[in-house]
Amino acid sequence: MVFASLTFLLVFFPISLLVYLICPNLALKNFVLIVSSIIFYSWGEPVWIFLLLLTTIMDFQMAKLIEKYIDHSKSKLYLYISIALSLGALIFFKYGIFIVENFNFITGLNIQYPKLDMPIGISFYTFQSISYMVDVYNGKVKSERSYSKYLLFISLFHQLIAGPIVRYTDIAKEISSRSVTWSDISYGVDRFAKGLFKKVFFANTAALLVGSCLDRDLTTLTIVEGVLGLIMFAIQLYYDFSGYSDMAIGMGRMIGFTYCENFNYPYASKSIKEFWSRWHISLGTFLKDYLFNPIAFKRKKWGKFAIIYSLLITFFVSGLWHGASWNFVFWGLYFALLIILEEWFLNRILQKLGTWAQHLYLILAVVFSYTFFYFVDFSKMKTFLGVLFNGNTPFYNAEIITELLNHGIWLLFAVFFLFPWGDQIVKYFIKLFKINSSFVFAVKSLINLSLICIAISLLVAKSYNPFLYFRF
Amino acid sequence: MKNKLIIFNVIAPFVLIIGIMLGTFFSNKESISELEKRKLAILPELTLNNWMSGIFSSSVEDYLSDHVICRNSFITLSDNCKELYNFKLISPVNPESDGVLVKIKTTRKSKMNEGMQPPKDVPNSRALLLDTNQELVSTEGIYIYDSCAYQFFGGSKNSASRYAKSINTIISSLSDSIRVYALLVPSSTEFFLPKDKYKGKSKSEEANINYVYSKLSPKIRTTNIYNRLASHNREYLYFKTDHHWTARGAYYAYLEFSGTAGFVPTPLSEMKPTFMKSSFLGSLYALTRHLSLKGNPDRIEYFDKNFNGAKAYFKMKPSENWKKTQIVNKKGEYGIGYGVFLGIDYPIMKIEGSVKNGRNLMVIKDSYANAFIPFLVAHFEKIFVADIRYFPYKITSFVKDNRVNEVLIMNHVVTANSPFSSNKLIKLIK
Repeated sequence: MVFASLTFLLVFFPISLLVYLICPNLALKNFVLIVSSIIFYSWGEPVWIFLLLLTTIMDFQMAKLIEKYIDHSKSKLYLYISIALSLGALIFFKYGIFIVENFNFITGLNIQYPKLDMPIGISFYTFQSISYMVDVYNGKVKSERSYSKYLLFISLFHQLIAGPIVRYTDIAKEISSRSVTWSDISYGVDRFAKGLFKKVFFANTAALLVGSCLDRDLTTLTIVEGVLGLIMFAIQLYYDFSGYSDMAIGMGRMIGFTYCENFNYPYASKSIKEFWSRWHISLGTFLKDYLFNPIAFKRKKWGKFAIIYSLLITFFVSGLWHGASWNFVFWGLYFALLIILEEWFLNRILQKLGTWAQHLYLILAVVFSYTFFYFVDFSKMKTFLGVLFNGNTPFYNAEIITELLNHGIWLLFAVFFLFPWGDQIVKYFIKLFKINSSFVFAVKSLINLSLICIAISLLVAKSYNPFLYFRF
Repeated sequence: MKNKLIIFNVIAPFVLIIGIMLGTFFSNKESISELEKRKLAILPELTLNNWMSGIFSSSVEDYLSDHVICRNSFITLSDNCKELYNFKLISPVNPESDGVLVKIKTTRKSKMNEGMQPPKDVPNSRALLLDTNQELVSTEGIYIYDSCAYQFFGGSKNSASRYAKSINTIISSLSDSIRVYALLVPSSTEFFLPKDKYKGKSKSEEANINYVYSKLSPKIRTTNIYNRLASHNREYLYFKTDHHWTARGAYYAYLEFSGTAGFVPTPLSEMKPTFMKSSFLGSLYALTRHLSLKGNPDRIEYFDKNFNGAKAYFKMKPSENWKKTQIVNKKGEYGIGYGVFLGIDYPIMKIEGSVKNGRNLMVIKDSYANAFIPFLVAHFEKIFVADIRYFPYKITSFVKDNRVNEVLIMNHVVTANSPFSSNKLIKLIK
């Protein structure tokens, strides 16, 4: 099930929340959350719920063993086994075909690998369980004694399929004891409405434009279509992903969980390094804490090269996490290379040129990076780059101008809200006109209602499907 | 005060969502959407198999979106919202100089197979309709100009040849004594949309029609209605929100056809032109839901004179008996739109005219002929109307058994150029 669906909005979410609120004590509330999460996860692809349950049982037991032998080498062994099992499942389902295809390519063999559907959310919950295991090993957290609480941590439907990658240390206390105020729920409603609108109004519309620009015969593309396609993809990715994160954070707050922030206006960054501290923050910090730092620490004798080495590995893994294909690896390494260049000399030059140059560089570099992200097929990627840079491509055509005009206002808003200008302008006017906070709150409430109404209407309208040629 | 507002901020969205949920659960459910011309989704059965395969979950989403309470209001809100996407907000459209291309995207292809008509006992027709649609979608959508909707034409010499070849094949299977006519109908785009609006986007229908005619067997008498329609382009010849022509457009085609078929047409002054009271929004509005079309609905004009005394019958399949129907349905049993003419597209219709002249005509057609056929009733003893999509007989034996001595093949140029039409024509002799 996805958040931006009528099934979730009109049936699952209100019913699960009402049942949750009716429950008199925390144990029952947690039970309702687990049952809700299992229904949520098994909606559409029920078979993978068994994998999720199996993984959680294994990790739950392993964590206890890691803790039991904490001062013994066995602890490390159990840690490795548990990480291997978690990653093993991820590799088996997500990377199996990719590995076998590359192996076949190198060796000339023709080994067949079964085509498997990937269990939803496996990339997220695998990282969550690894972080838990490592934190138990490092003594940062006590292993969970109750399986149901551990299952709740992993399966909580708010963040199960699209993040943020919540760490056990972040919500361990809240699983056992949490309270909610009206303000918390109100904040949750704000975030949920905002996230839903981001996803349905901005991301879904951008996706249509991406499709009309890039899912076609690329040899007939104009420069404006190519660039607009990439810009739309940048808009789609941000609103889609950050919208889901907002909804997750909002739903968490409604019932007393505080999840980590996942996006902080990444396109307002001035460097790639800053971009990655604002984009998918929970993944970035996970990779930093559990991959980059340990590797850099281990290779500290190498000096600067330890950083470069760690950076390349971290972004290699980051790319691969986004998808089992070499284009994602290139995408990751492209960012690693840019960070290395920034640290070497690029930042100094850009700083001298001024803030606007830094922003412009960031936007160009990130938007261009989506060429590697979007085109999984290398021949298409090559055609696309060829069309953009061969010098003979027409600059624009009438269709794309019509498309731009048809979406002009939408595009202005979509770009505007990529940056923190909205918040800044609102704060400025509140201060300037000394607007009463109650009035601001009332307006915000009405905006929330409007956003939800518009999102539902857009979801309903997707079903509108007239059948023209039933009578020619 | 602020505390009350916080509570309002929490309660209001939940009341809204729960209200929609309860309203959806307990409201009466429609089974058909008149505007979309399709069946609405039904609630799937909750079985283990449906659950495990994911059919149940995807069907629930379809069901909810088809039956959500106030669905039309939500769709209208969505339309209004999308209207704000473009620059019209800050620069109002000048209907004399601006237009907008509305791209048509199908979100749920499976739904297209559930088109409301033809009736369920006509095999495979829906899947084949999908083929037709796919070709037409290549014309990139519906162009809205001056509050009227237009389709762009994507036909080529290849598609025209294919259609002509199909007709030639059919005719070669018929007796030489049978007189055969062909009539292709152009779209409103050719006459009402300024050329600069579709230059490079839509191909010439006039050239395509002429090309088809040039490829037809010399045995076939063609009727070119292009110039006649062009000379009346200040009149209401085509609907503004529907992809069909009006009865008046069909009347001018009838005038031209009279010369080919050899009868004296009834003058317009004797036709008793009448407008139905209600207005309607047609298929192109249904596709685009463009607000400028909504503000410019169509009306049906019909002519009473020629079918006085004539009787019409239809059959859904050969084993059935003939059932009565109407040539022009003024009561609007099939809606107040184009369905007024001959009702729905029956697989086969028989019209017994008021004259006894031994002329038995068979019209092999798509829905463009529906507004045209009523004019012929005064000139033929019998008219058999065969819809190329669903006609359940072998044409050669049908012609022989019913003593048909004249055949008219009539299509809209857009459908004529689709592989679907050519294929269906060929199947008429198999």
